[in-house]
Parts: sequence; structure tokens; C-alpha cells
Amino acid sequence: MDILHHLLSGFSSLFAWVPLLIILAGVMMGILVGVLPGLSPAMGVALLVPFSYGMSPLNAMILLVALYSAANYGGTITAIAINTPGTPSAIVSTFDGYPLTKQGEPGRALGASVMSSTIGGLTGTLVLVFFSVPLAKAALSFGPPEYFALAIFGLTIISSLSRGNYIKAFIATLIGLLLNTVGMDPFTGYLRFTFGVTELADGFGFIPALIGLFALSEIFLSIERTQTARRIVHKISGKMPSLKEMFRIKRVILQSSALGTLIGVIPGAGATIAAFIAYNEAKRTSKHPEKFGQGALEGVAASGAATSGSVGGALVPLLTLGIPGSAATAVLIGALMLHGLTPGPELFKDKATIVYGIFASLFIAYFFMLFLGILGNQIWIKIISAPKALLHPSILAIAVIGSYAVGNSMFDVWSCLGFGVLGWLLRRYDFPTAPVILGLILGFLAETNFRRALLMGDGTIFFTRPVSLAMIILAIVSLFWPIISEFLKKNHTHLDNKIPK
Amino acid sequence: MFSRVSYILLFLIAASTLAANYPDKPITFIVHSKPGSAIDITTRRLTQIASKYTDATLLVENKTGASGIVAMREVLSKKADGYTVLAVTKSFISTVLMTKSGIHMDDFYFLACLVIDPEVLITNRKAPVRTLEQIIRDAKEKQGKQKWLGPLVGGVDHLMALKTWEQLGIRGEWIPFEGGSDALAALMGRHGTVYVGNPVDVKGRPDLMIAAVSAERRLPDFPRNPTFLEKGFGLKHEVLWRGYALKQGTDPRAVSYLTDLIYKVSRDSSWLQFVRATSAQPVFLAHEAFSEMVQKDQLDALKYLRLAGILADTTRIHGANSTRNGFISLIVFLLLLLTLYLFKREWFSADFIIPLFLIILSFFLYGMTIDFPSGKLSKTAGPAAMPRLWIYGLIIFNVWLLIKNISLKNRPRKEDSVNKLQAVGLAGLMFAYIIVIQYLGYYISTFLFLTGGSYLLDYRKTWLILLNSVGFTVLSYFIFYKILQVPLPTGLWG
Repeated sequence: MDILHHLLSGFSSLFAWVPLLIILAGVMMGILVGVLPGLSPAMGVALLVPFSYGMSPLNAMILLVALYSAANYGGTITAIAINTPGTPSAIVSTFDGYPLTKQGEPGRALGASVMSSTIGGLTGTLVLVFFSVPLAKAALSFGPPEYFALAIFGLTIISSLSRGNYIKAFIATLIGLLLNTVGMDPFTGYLRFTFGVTELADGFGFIPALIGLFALSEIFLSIERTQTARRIVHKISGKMPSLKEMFRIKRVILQSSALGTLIGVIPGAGATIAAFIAYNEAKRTSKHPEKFGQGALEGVAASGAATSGSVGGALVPLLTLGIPGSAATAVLIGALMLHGLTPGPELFKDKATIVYGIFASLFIAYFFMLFLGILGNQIWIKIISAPKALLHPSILAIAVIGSYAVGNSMFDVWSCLGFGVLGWLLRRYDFPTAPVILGLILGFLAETNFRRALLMGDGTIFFTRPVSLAMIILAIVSLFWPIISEFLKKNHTHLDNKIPK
Repeated sequence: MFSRVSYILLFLIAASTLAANYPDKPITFIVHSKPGSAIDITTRRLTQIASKYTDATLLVENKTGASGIVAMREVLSKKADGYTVLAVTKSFISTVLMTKSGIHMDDFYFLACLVIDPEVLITNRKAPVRTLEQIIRDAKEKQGKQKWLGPLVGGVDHLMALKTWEQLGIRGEWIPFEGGSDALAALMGRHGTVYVGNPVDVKGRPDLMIAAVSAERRLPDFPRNPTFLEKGFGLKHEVLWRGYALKQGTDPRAVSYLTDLIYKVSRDSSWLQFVRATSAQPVFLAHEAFSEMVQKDQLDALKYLRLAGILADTTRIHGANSTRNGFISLIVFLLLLLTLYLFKREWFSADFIIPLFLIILSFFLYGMTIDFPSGKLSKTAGPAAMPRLWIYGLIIFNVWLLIKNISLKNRPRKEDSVNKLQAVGLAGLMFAYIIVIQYLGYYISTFLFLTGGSYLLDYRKTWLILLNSVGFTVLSYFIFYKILQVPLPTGLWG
């Protein structure tokens, strides 16, 4: 009851022109940051921090949080429209969103994305408001062995990304994992595979790799494979998915929202892993998994719901423990400190108005996001209806400025082009590119936590801790799921045949 | 037209050097870490307060990478004219010593140190081991297996731990994390015993406590937490510092202007309030005192990095080795291709060439991992362990793919590549675009690229092409440069 009371007073402190306008501005900036590849939610928040100096602590925080909550959604827009994930977590939206766009139905994909993102975001916020304390405690039990097990579990998703060609998917993953080891060894400071290039000391930038592997490779490949004369897109429809259609996939949306939120709580896991796992589970529990990757609305919804759900999740350890669960929350913690707010249990006691004001602002921000998202979809559809000969060079130019903006460095631009050519070659010969990204994301998590766990104990540490053991078992089940499900299906039909009709 | 522009530019450059009215253009503060980090926030706050005392525009630019090497290189690549200031922290010493980048601390002129943050040992209030005495007893019982958590190996906090172990006569296991907050989370989850950090780390975290402070007397914010000195250990001057530096050889006028400006900030009440809010100490150490501290810390770091076996006295040089191996691998690959072409023409396709290439690349990379150190720190799994595991995987799966392709009778037909030339052309144009940006700057080259790109894709509606190119360039100017303040490359015009 206490919480509800606080929450209501939080809402009442926001119902004035200034806070509402601030939230609206934050959401708009968030969508913009999300849409622009190269600008991550973290950078967006960081860019707004100086603007927030002069504001009251509550206004400053609702601005930053509104931006953060909308940025993850914004990334899915370009992922769906032009196969360019605007934020890392939006990669998963390209799997089914972009095929839908190519089939002339970007309206359905974009609509499903904004609606499921809103539901995911609201779920995450509800969990944040009501369960943050027990969840934060649970997140702390994640030590190095558990993170390693999580990474291994994440890697097993390749078996569902492979679309039939396991060997090539594994090779692609291993390329990603190996590329990930380029740079300074986090434990000894030794430079691995850098060939004397200073910029490689931190390894390949993740965002340039992302833009290259997805956006660039798609453009090169689609130009290569279509006749100039035939390069007229079939009619693009701006039609949104009907509410009935959305209701039909409610289970996937709710399941992905919950998964996204829970994974978001674990510091260091983040929105990207959340989206991958939610997508995998959506596919695994779907009645027609073969449609995933060909433009399944469930796939788009799973990704959108999980990425937005993870926002609320990531705020859990931030506000209750002062531990940032993602790059963006790391900046938020700095901003909180700047305004004299130290996150932690005391913040809930001493500054309850601010904490619950932030919570309330999240609810409002998601409604603004839904509204702006639906409105904005028509603009995106106009943009992608432009002739490909204008669109393709423009996307390449965005890739250049986007990768430059990551670290103000031309090296990132070069590596973006390099990854673009790599992705083009891989896809040309039927190697999927998503596993490369999965390897790049999870390689670091796997390696550092594996070695850290070994420093803490011996090899048995992975199997003697319950959470770690459970996740390793899950990983094995997930890896062999296609085989298991086949077996189950066979048994099932076997049984069906036995039943006399 | 262009020559006139360049004449004007030349004139402007000449005029600006003649005027020598420092500062007559924006002063950029280079920060080595991401936006939102401690040094970034400190610097942004500094420039904000400093703008009260100067008319010059002060900018903050993040040049992240290689633990500060990228930022240092950026400052050293600029003219020593005082328009590029480097935000420095103690961690730069470890970076400079550990990476063989050719950069030295002496390359910088240390302007002033503004913040001093004492090093502290932090423990979990709910754990059985909390106080300094308990840490010492527990460490002796565990015989070097006590877990100490913190960021990066060789960093400021690790050096503090090494020093503490020496002073306390104990040994521990340093478990490095990606950043301080990850290590703090691990301490809260009781995955380790001691965290090495600064007082700010316990703020708002009631589960954590400071076991010992490295300072002459107890900290005003933490009157109940003892110093090492009280417990009979001499660790009293271990601090993390933050300050500002210029490239060595900067014009004395700029030096005195900036020193004066920073001094004014250091006396500003809102600055003092800001620093104290992070439980650190606001100070003003001018050039001499600052340089002396840097010198002392560098000698210290050298000693402990050697002691821990992080810095070896002799380094093996293996650059030549990998170049030679690279050549050999390339020749082997080409020979294999030739053999295929001559004797097994039907296998001369991507189905065989790609796996072959990846296998030979894997062997070459494996050769490189032989040189990776196994060091005292790495114990069971060194820097080579994971890369090797992935390399084994690559070899196994590629061999599998080869065998599968050999046994495959009917290869699936590839999708047509009807427009290969256009696609390669566009990729080439992008290549040229990225090169040209560095000379013509972002705007002109982007306009040229977009126009050329559309033309290359057989689009002939000139007006639409021009509209798109101009529109894109103008829009990116507003969004990226004006709103998001990305310093776009200006090429030769800058």
C-alpha cells in the first residue's frame, strides 16, 4: 500500500506542463538516438547530462530516464525499416522485421514493434516498482561461474539462428568469438592479435561491427542480386497490425516482456542478450517455428518487448544497489551523483518523491512512446518508399557518420566497412551473420568470467553452484532442442497413430 | 573558387598566429573514458564552472580507447598551442608502463592536480571478515587464496592491493573485473572478501563498509573508519588523483592562462561542493608539486608491476616471427589454390576455398598464440586459452564442412549475382569516400559520395539526386554536429 501511495504522489508531482514536456522531449530525443546507428542509449543519456545541470533533480532524472526508455525502442525502427540496428539490442528485430519490410509490410512490423515495446516497457516498470528489492538481491547471487553459464546458454541460441545449416552457423559464431579476442587481454594486459595497431587495443568496436555486418552487407548483397530494371519495390503498405492480431500473440509478448525484464536485472547481461534469449524462447514455444526468420510477427514482438522490458530491469540494480546493469545506466548513475542523489536503499527513504517520480515518469514515457511511435511509423514508411538508388547510398553515408560518432575515430569507420565486406562475403556463401554478432557479444562475457571463476576455485566451480549448474543443463537442452523436439514430435505422432479413430 | 577559399584560410591562419591572443578559439578538453565516468563528469563540471571566468569556449571531447593511449596520442598529435588539454588520472601511469606505445609521462606538462581521492579497503558488513584485523587473520588462514576484487590488472587499485599485501605481510588473489561497479556487485554478492577502491564506493550502499583508509587522519565523512596508520601500518599517502596536462613545450602564455583559470575553478564554492559530494578532496597542486607526485607514483608503479610479474624485465620480440609465418601461410594457401585449379577444377569454388582459407588462417593465428605469455597471474587459463579453444573449433568445423562438401553430389544452386559489378563499385566508392573525408572534410565528401552513389546505381533524375545529397548533408550537419556535438572531420579546412 505504501508503494501505491508513493506512486500516486509521484504521478501528481508530474502532472504539470513542465515535467510532461520534459518527458515528451526525452522520448523524442530517445527515439532519435535509437534510430541513428552509432548513437547508443548510453551516448544519448551522456549527451543530455550537461543540459540537465540547471534543472531540478527530478526534472533532470525524468528527462534522462525518458530518453533511455525510448532509445531501445528507437533502435528497432531502423532495424525493421532498413536492416540497420540503431542500437545493439535491435539486432534481433532485423530477423523478422526486415523480411516483413521486404514483403511490403513494414507497417505491420513497425506497429508490432512499438506496441510490444510499450507492453514490455510497462511490464519492466511494474516489476521495478513492486519487486525491485528481492530481485536486486537475487541478481547479486550471480557470480563469475553464473555469468559464464549465462554466456554458454546464450551461445546455444545459434542452433535456432542457423536455419538448417549448423556447420556454417557454428563457423560464423567461432569467427565472432575469435574476433572478440582481438585486443588487450583483460587479465594480463597483453595485446592479442593487434598486429601493432593501437586502435585495436580495445578490440573491434561493437557498433561499427554491427552496422557493417547488417546494414552494409544487406545493401551490397541486394544490389548484387537484383536487376537494376527490377529494382522497383513492390507496393509498400503502411497498414498497422490489427489489435486482434496483436492479441493473438499476447503470450509471446508477455513472456518476452518478463524474460527481458528479468535478464535486464542481471548487471552486465543487458538488453541485447535479453532480446536474443526472448527470441529464442518465442521460437521454441511457437506452434510454427519454421516461420521465424521469414517474417513472423511474433519474432518482431519478442524482440521489441524484451529490449524495452530490460530497461525497467536494468534500473532495478541501479536504484536499489547503485550497480549499473548496462552502459546507459552507468551514465545515469553519474547523473544521479551530479544532482546529489546517491542510489541505494537510503534513496528510497530520503528521496522517495524523486524515486517514485522517476517510476511514474516511466509509465508516462511509455505512453508518449506509443503515441509518437505510431505517428512516426508513417514517416519511416515514406522514407523507405524512396527509390533504392537514393536510399542505399544514404544508408551507407549514415553508416559512416554513425560509426564515426561512436568514438570520433576514423578507425571505427574503416572497421565498419571491413565488417560490411566480411558480412557480404559470408552471406554470399550462405553463412549467417547473426551468429558472428552473438560471438562478439558473448565471447567477452564467456572468457572473462571463465577465467575469473577459475581464479576463484577450480573447474568444478561451474557444477557445484546451483544457479550455474541449472543454466549449464538448460544450455545443453537448448543446444539439442531441435533434435529433442523432433524426437518428441515423432513420439507424439506415434501415439496419435495408435489411438483408434 | 577553391583557391580563393584557401587564400582566405591561409590569411586567417597567419592572422591568428600573429595575434597570439590566447585564447582566441575553443579550448578542447580530451577525456580518455566514456561519457559519465568519474573523470568525464569532473571535467564537464570543471569546464562549466570555468566558463564563469573566461570568454573562451570550452569543449569536452571523449577519445576513448586503449586505457587512455588514444587520448594521449590525440593530444600529442596536436600542436603545443594550449588549445588541447588532457584530463589525466593516476591510471595513466600504469597504462604508459604496461603498453609499449612509445608514450611517456614526460611527454606531458602537468598543469594542475585538482582532486585527490584516498584509497580504501572495503568489505561486506554481512560477511564474517570485515575489519583489517580479520582480513589479516583470514588471509593467513587461506594462504594466499583470499579473494580481492577490483578493476583491471596493473591498475591503480591493483597496485594498492599489492602494496597493502606487502605492508600487511599477507598474500591474496587479485580477481579483476571490467570495472569498479562490477567488482562492487561481486563484493555485495559475497563472491570475494575485499574490494579496493575509494570512499565514494560505499556511499548509498549500507551493506558495505570501509575497513581501512590510506590517509594521515580519519576522513571527515567517515569518522568511525580507522586509517592504516592507527593500525600500525605506514600506508598513508595512497591516493587516486585527477588533474590536467598539456603537451610538453606549450607556449608559456597559454600555460599561465590555463593555470590561472583552473586555480579560480579550484576556489569556486560550487566546485568545492561538487568534489566533496563524491567524498574526495578538492586540492590545487600546481605544476611543480603535481609533477613530483607523478614522478614518485611512476617509480612506485614500476616497482610493484615488476614485483607482480606484470612487467617483465625483458620482453620477447616476436613481430618478425608473425610476419614470416604470415607469408608462409599465404604461400601455402596460394599453392593449395593452384593445386586445386590444376588438378581438381570442379573443386575450385567457394565451397572449398573458404574452408581452406579459414583452416590456414586458424593455423597462422594458432602460431601467434604460442607467443602469448603464461605469466604468474594467469595460472590455469592464460590469454591463449580461449583463442585456442575457438581456433580448434574453427579447424574442426571447417574440416567437417570440407568433408561434407566433398561428399555432396548435387550442390544447391547459388542465387544469381546479376549485378556484381555495381555492388563492388559501390563498395569501392565507399572506400574512396572514407579516404577522401580525411582530406576534403565530411560535408563535401558526403555530398560527392551520395551523388556519385546514386549515379552509379543507374539513377538519372539529377534534381532528385542533388536534393537528396544536399538534404542529407545539411540534415547530418544539424543532427550530428549541432545537436549531438559530434566533431565531424573537417579535413584540410580544419
